[in-house]
Amino acid sequence: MDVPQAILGEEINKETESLYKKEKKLGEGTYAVVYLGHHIKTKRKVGIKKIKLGNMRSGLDMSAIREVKALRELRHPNVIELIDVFSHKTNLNLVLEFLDTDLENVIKDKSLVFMPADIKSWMMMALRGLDHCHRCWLLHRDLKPNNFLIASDGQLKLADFGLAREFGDVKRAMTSQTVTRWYRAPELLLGATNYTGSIDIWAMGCVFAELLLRVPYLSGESDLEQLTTIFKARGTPTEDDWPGLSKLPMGFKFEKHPRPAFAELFHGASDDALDLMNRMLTYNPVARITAAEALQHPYFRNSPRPTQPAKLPRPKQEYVAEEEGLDSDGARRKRHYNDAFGDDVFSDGKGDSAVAHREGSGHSRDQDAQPTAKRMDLRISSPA
Amino acid sequence: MAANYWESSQFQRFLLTRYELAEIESTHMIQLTNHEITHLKIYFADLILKIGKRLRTRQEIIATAIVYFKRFYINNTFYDIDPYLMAATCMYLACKVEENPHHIKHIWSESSAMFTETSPDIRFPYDIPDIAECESYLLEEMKFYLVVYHPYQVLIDESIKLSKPALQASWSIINDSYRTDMTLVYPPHVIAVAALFLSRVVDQGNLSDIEAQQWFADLNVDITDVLQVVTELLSLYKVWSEYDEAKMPELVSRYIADIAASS
Ligand SMILES: Nc1ncnc2c1ncn2[C@@H]1O[C@H](COP(=O)(O)OP(=O)(O)O)[C@@H](O)[C@H]1O
Repeated sequence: MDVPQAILGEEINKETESLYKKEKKLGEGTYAVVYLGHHIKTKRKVGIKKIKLGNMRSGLDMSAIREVKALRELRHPNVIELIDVFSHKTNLNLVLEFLDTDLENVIKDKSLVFMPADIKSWMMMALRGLDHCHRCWLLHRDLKPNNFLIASDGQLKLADFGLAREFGDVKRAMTSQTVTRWYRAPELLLGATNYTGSIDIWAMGCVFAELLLRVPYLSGESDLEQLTTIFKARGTPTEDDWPGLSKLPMGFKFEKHPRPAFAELFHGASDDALDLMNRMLTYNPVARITAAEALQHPYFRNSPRPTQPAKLPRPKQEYVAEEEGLDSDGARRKRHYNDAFGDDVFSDGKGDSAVAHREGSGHSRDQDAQPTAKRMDLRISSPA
Repeated sequence: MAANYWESSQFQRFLLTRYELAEIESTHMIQLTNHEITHLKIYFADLILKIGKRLRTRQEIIATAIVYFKRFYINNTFYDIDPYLMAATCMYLACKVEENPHHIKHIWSESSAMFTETSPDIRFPYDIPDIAECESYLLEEMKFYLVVYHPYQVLIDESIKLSKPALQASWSIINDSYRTDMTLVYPPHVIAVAALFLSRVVDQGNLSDIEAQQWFADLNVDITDVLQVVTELLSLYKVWSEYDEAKMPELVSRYIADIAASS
């Protein structure tokens, strides 16, 4: 009997897996569980994002495909680094640089005081990361404070590319059902299917406002209400503000709200900051400032100079130190902290079964068939 | 997707030299003649193309699937995983990566129907979960680097400067280039220029000589590489004229049986 030669990819995979040790669960997102781990030799801390594959029957799902595809090509100090990838049984594991906290935690920690220079520093790093994505023809499509992770040296990094996709081809329609509601650009709310980097800029504008206000700026209760919320806050757009508005799928008439004086709400913000924010929240997507242009805006050149990342305010509670129950405040955060199963070296596979069990999907366990044995069936049937 | 091709994984990780490629072929394909090797490449590129046609996908997606197929068999043989299954799987993954996903069941049924239609000698005893499993081997082999650049984009970017017939001729020459392994060896713009160069031979006079010279000069590519690609394309056309699809299933089986016997 012939012994099959191991498939190289598989060997590399095992090798990659054995480089890391998984420690404990850090958090849970919509389609992944994130663990703290480290590189065994270098001791470098890593975040291991294990993507849940509800069932293996259709292979990797679109979010996972998008995330690996994007992170494998992007490389920038303000974009999360994908260090390695390996699959374990039916799960895909992304080994990411470890990041202790995120911008949402920072904004919510009311014991922290933000200086204008701090906000400028975060905005600059966020825009640099976004500019890199857009130069690579990639839309993030889900920018919001908890997708800007923060490293121990204060560097801010764009993360969570599960909705990211390439753009540039006008002929190809894309879904308008994207981006978390409060950060969703008006053209998306009106059903546009041809859009560009300007949708990410709108979201950045909302984050900018949130840094100034310390609460979400445009927090609509429903998709329909979101538009009303925007119109109340920014004035109902006219065909003059936004040529082509009435041609959008849902560009029907809305109640007219006057454009309020923003300076009142954002008292304390400098004129250059407000000017940049307004350019990011311009209705007409074509006229909206781009990431590259925003970085050239006088706001970043005028004093005060942006705070050095290492000197930025940090929340006292960081991911690892957080305990269950801390974030009971609603739908924005779906995190569950749990360190029930202490150490777990990947290769023994125990941790995975435990998780499969907890997630209530006995499914992945049925699929635990030995890959090598199974692979035999994938060979061509020998000639008759 | 990287800011440019030179920063992409395709350039930094997957580009082989001609010598590396020759080395691989001499280890994997020892039992085959050069003509047979070329015929196998034509055959599987054609099969993937046929699946793509049935799914009505864009040419670039088909090209991505073909590149995945080639990348997988750099370090594996047809004996490790059945190339018919791999062909269907590459198409499945390429559709997802290029944001044009098809249901796995649809890929499976279109692929099986196409194999049956192509030849009664092709056996495809696989089921839907086999495609999903095969996908995981493919992903691992490619270390999850999924973005592929194609010469088509170069043509599209330059299309305003080209006449319609020149564009069409170059486009179909690029299609043909996927029947060789040149996509593993040369950057996409080199292949695009070579295709344009050849199309000029085929379709003289639509691009004035001055225009053409300017065009080639502006693109700033290594002319020796371009000529090498042209030579490889011409030899493809020669070997292709002797290609007989009906004989291929038997060649595939014989080849796999040979590897099985020698391993
Ligand atoms: N690189 C990382 N380092 C440390 N913790 C992380 C990292 N990535 C994600 N996390 C934690 O895991 C949680 C879930 O991550 P993710 O699935 O990306 O988020 P979501 O789907 O909620 O946007 C995050 O909210 C965060 O608490």
